[in-house]
Amino acid sequence: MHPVLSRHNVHIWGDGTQPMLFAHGFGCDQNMWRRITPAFEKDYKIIVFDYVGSGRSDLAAYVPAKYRNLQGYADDILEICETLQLKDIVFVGHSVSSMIGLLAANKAPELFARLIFVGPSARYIDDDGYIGGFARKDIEDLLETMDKNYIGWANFLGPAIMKNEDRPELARELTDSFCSTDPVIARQFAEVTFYADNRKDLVFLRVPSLILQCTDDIIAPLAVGEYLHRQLPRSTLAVMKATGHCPHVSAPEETTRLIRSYLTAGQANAQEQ
Amino acid sequence: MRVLQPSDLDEAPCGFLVVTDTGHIVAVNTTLVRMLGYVTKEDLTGKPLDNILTIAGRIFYQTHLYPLVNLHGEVREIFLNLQKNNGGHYPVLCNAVRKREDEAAAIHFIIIPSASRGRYEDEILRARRRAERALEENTELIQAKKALEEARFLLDNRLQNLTHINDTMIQLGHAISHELQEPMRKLALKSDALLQVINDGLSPGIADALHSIHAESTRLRTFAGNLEQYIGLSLAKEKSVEVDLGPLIERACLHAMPAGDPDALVLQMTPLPIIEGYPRQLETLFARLFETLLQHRPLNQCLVLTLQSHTGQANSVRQLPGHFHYSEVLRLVFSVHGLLGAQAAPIVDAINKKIDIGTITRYVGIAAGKTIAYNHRGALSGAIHPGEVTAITLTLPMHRGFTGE
Repeated sequence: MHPVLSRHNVHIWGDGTQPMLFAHGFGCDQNMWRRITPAFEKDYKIIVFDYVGSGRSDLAAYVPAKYRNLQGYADDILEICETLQLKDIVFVGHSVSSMIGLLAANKAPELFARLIFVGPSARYIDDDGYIGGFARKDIEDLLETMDKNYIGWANFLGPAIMKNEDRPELARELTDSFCSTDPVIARQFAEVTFYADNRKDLVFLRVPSLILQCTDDIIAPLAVGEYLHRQLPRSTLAVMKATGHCPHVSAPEETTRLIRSYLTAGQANAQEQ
Repeated sequence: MRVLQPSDLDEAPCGFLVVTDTGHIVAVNTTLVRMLGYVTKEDLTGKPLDNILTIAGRIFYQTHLYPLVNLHGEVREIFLNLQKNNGGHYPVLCNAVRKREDEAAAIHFIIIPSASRGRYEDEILRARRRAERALEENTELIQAKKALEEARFLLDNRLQNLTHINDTMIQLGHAISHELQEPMRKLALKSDALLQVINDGLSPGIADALHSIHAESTRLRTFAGNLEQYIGLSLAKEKSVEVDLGPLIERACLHAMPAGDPDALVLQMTPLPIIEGYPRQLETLFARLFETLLQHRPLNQCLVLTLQSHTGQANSVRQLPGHFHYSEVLRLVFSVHGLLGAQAAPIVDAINKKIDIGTITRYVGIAAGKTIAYNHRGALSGAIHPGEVTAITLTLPMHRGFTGE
């Protein structure tokens, strides 16, 4: 297997030719998509992966200087696309992956056909006249909560032991109980995610996008979805009946239906042109 | 032996809570009502779960707890900060299971206070952070030292190579400018003079031969000139200053415009930022790029260039694999309308491949542009989009950083 593909635990299947690339959000891994992908595997080539530090990715590939920045994650997506020679890609990103996908598409717009953002936000912390939904103190509290949730095992079951080949049951149990396997990386991912500010990158997006905005999503509130819709050229906003931040887990039917109808409408437009 | 009574759960020594898939509380026990400082169960039932979570708790619930309990069916020993009726925080540990009830799914929680345990954990966390920081600094230091040694060795090797190449280039440059250009200039001069003398057409055969000698020597001179200019650019020494790209590109555009055809190139652009760079080189880059495009346009066809720009981040470490330094870059995207695919394809190809002698011979403007981009630690790339629009992207760092100047 190509080193880039094993680094990200990439899985590919499906009967179609057009690639549909699913990028998981902060807190979990590619398993998050398992209620969505079956609906598209007849018509698309499905590609799922884990970011370095999440799921079953190669933890040894984690370089703080690279992943201190969402562009580092975006460059990984572009490397996956290059390795698999993907073109005309439908990109589906949850939460922070929306902005990671945007950065990738700003750097290489020719690779992407459509971007689908599930619960996106360009900035989580409130700022002069901008409502992101959180104060800086809230984010500090979140980091504290994360630290406390890893305390039980992080001290003595660090990543070194988790990679221990002769105790596979240990790794198995840990990945099942928490998707993010390395507490230090998960914490840094949280910091990069929640302190990021991608507002200035929005206007440069040339690829058409769909914003899937949930009802009562405290992480990405309606005001944020509307802001994104105003700033992103060629964007479509769909407000969902689904509540919370994970419609692809809680309301897979509605999520699938909206993605499908957006993509079908896009194809009709392309044919008219 | 006694049968388990409903009151056993209601007044159990732990909080109990049932939440719907949509995040609403449908049942609580009395213990939890008291823990959080409420009076009756009605204060909580039917309300959003968010009412008893801190903001950080809500994020953690949405990003970790909910997806995990939903996908795995249960979670154990999760730490959360609950929010009390009076606004205070109430740290707890909880276990949760997902159950299907009637049509809908619900999540059942048991909740155990962990305030005193929390204080102890705070201590451990502080100690752990100190230890991690020390370890990290130590590991980073050792790694940095090792990387530095390797880099120094590599750098020395490269410098040796570069010095050698540089010397060769300078010699080559001299050879071209003197040994090649001068005889060719004289040849052209002599053939001109001869052409004058035999202008009456004494012998068409001789005149044809002279014309072709003239044409060939002119072609050779152009090539030698191109080569000299290309080598000159690679060796160029210029001080980096703040560059106002907008006016610079307009000047380059005027410079590239063919004489007597001021409408050959239409440039549309939005305001551009000021960057740090080498202004003379940059102006040459744009002028040579525009010239190349103009030379290859269809006859009498004008070219329309739309310039869009945006800033982003890019890794500026090019030579050392596995090393990263993200810094701010400016991406300039020229969309060229008016070139045909057959003309655009070899230009895009020349832009995307390494500079070779073919590029210098046929597309010296592109070779020059790539060299200048490289001098700036930037990059030039091209693509052809559907509808025969050629896109040429120039990435330039916003700031020079350490250049060793």
